[in-house]
Order: sequence, then structure tokens, then C-alpha cells
Amino acid sequence: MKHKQFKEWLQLSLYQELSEQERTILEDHLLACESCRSEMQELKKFHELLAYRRPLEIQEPLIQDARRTLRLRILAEAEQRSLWTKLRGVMDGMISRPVQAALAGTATLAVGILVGYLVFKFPTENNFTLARLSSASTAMDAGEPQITNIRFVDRNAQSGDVEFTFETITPMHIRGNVNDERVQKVLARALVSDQNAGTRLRAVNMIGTQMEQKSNGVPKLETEIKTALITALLHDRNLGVRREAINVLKNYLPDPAIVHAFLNVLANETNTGLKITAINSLDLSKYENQPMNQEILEMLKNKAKSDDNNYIRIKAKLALQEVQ
Amino acid sequence: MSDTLRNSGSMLANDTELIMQAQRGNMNAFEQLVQRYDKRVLTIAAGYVSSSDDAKDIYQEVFFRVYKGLPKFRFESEFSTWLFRITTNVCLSHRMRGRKHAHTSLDQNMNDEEGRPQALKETLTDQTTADQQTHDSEISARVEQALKTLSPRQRMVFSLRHDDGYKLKEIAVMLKCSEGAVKRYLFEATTRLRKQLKEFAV
Repeated sequence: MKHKQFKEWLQLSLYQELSEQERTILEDHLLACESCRSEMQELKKFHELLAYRRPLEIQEPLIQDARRTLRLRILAEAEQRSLWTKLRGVMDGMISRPVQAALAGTATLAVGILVGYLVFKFPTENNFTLARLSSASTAMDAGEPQITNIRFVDRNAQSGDVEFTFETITPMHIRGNVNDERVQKVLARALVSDQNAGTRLRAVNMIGTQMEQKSNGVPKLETEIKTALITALLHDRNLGVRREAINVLKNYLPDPAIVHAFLNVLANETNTGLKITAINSLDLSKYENQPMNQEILEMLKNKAKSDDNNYIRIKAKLALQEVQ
Repeated sequence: MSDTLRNSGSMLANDTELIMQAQRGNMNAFEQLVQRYDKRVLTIAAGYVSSSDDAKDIYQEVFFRVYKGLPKFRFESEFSTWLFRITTNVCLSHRMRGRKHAHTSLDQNMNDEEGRPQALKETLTDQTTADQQTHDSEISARVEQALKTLSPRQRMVFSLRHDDGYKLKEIAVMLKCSEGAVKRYLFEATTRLRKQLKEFAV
């Protein structure tokens, strides 16, 4: 056997990657070969040196942060995908492919006209105005749409014809009452999609304030706003936003979607305060004879037994004692 | 850690169930799958890159690819094999994107206590006045620098074997190459590292 092969085996032996037979052959060789014994000593020193290396430690906050970011990214993806799938499903089932293309164009035009109608109809209504933000500094010219993502499709050098696609962003200015459903929808949208945590926090604050101010009992929670609040509670990386969201949502228990969101908080949330709010809000007496009663009971038992935080365990036990 | 791929076999029934639910759009099932494997993915990433931001980027990319690819997953391999193959691919391409920043000269200057540039070599050999902790950190930094001189595949194999403890056979499956090729990468990586760190291994 060649000497080079033994040198390779020396390395593999330190990683316990040699077969029993190979190890025996190598050991026999080492007894007879001074050069390989010396090489083995150097390799061991080299491995000792490598032990000084400290790879990144995987700590719980790093994992939690990564999971939260992933959830948000997937939610955004799922939202886009579901809209597209629905549209395609309807079209595929109904009509042939050439007609689909023609109809898609017509539908886009119709949507454009409808949006235009809605946009320019609003300023005439009381208590709500929506207009282009003429002072927007990012627009090419005052009030003009900003053009982004230009993609060139085709170009004919002779005739000078060009074909390209692009997206436009038009700065808008809205003035309206926080009770206005359309204003709330914009706020709900900001709550789940704005990059700035301060904006999300203000959006959830405004929604919450509006809910508190309505005098005739707790006002109805629109599905879109409820979904936005639940999304914020479960996936927003900012604790303040999550806290505000839970404070608004707790007024709408025992809505099943909110109950499930609160159970999710108990299972996955890292902040103790939010978990305590969830336990305090899930009053079991309100759910008698309902399927969710069992789910809450199971979760509380689980928390009472195995939550990492002692206080949460005590709170869960107390909540259980109240119903037993 | 070396039994990761084998262990996944005993969890196959559960994985299959979760995958099928996730394929039907059950996000809860998908999250359970993620939580079952994400520490291992992060560990592989952390062994390969040297910043937590890079490790998180790799994590996001890996699981986003899994999310998008899961509907087409046909159980032709174990889920863990597929997942770790994606992980190593993402690591390798991540390294390639940042490659021009990743290579660091071993003669790179460092500042001394008074802010004057001082060769790292000198910093590391003059340990008489440094305390043990500083000494360890500096050697760790030097090893890290030496690792950055390896090719992406050499570093991937070295990190998977040396830091994460995967067997060469398992690494071959992850990288979709022969065990002989993995041995060669490991041998080349070790030879190169020894050369870079020769003066300190005494």
C-alpha cells in the first residue's frame, strides 16, 4: 500500500471513519513507520487547535426570531398564491384557454374602471376624502405615479416600437373618520404589511381606540380587521404590536378564531405577559358545552404541568381550579 | 448528531403524516415539520457561516424552498434527506454570493492596544502578556480566517464532519456525490488548514 494512502487513513482514523480491518492495518503500519507516527502526532495537535474554534451558538431567541420571520414570509406568499389560485380555478373550470386570455384582459380593464370609479367617487362623500398626494417628493412629478420594475419585453430597432411592462405606485392622501369602514381597512392593511413597527403600532392603537369609543356596547369586528389583528398577534415581531392586538381581541371572545389565536399564543408566544393575558381572558365558564372548552382545558393542563415559566404554571393551575 | 439521518427513519410515519397534511395546506403541520428540523438546519448553517445574520438568511431560504417545493414532494427520499440537501445547496450558493467578501488574507492587519496596526501573526505568537480568554478568542479567530480560505465544498464537508459530526456517508447523500469525493474534500480541507495554521499547532 502506498504511503499517501496511509496519510489519508491517519486523518480518517481521527474521525472514526475507518473500518475495523483498515484500523488494524494502520496500527500495524504505525508500529513500523516513524514518519507516520510523527504525522499522527501533528494531526492530533492540529485537532487540538481546531477545538479553539467556537462556531455560532444556536440560542432560543435566534430560533424564535427565525421562525417568526419565516411565518410572515410564508403568510405573504400564501396570500398572493390563494388569490391567484382562486382566479385560475374559476377560469380553468369554465372556459377554454384562448377565451381565457381574452377574458383576462377584459376583466383587468373592468377592474381598472371600477377602481377608478371608486377612487374618484370618494372625495364627494362626507367625512372621507382620498386624493393623490401632490406633494409627494418621491413621485417623478407632483401627483404623478412613480414607475418601478420596468421589464423590456420586445424592441424593434427599425420601426422604433418597444414593448415593456412596469408597475406604478401612486402616492395617495386619505382623510376620514376612524369609524369609517374603509379607513379601518387601510389601517388593517398597514397592520399586517407595513415594514415600520411604529406604523403598525399606531394602526393597532387607532383600531383599538375606535373600538373602545363606540358607546353602544362592543362594536362588531369586521372579518378583515379581525384577521389582521390575529395575524399581528401571532406573527408580528414587535412585542408592543402583539400586546395591543391581544388587548383589542380579548374584547371579542368567545369568537372561535380568537380563541384559537389565544391558544396559539399560549403554545408559542415567548413573552410571559402576553401568555398571562391569554390565560386571564380565556374564561372557561363561557365555553360550557362548546367543543373549544376541551381544547382550552387541555392547553391549560399542559401549561400547568410543563410551561418553562413558574408563574405561568401557577396561573394555569388557578384557572383550572376555578372551573373544577 | 451523526445519527440524524438514521434517526429520521424512526419518525418516518409522523413525518409522512405531517407532510401530507402540509401538502393539503395545513400550516400547523408545516410549522411542526419546521420546528422538528430547524435547529439542525440552523446548526449546519452556523457551522458554515460565521455570522448569525447569514445563518438566519440561510434558514429563511431553506424553509421557503421547502414550503414551495413541498406540494411536489413525492416521498422518493426521506424528508430529512431532501431537507438537508436543500440546506447544503443553499449554504453553498450563499457562500458563492458572498465569496468575494469571504476570503480573508492571513496577513491581514489587526490593531494593537494603542490602535497601531499589528500583524495577526505577531498578535497570536506573543501570548505572554495576554490572558487565556483573549488567547483562545484570537486562536478561534485565526482558525475562522483559515476556514474562509477553503472552497465552499471543502468548507461544507469540513463543517458537517468536524462541527456537526455527520458521517462521511451521510454527507455524501446530502451533497449528492460519492463518499470518495467527500473524503477528498475533507482531505484537501484538512491539508489546507494545517498549512495555514502550521505555526500554531506546536
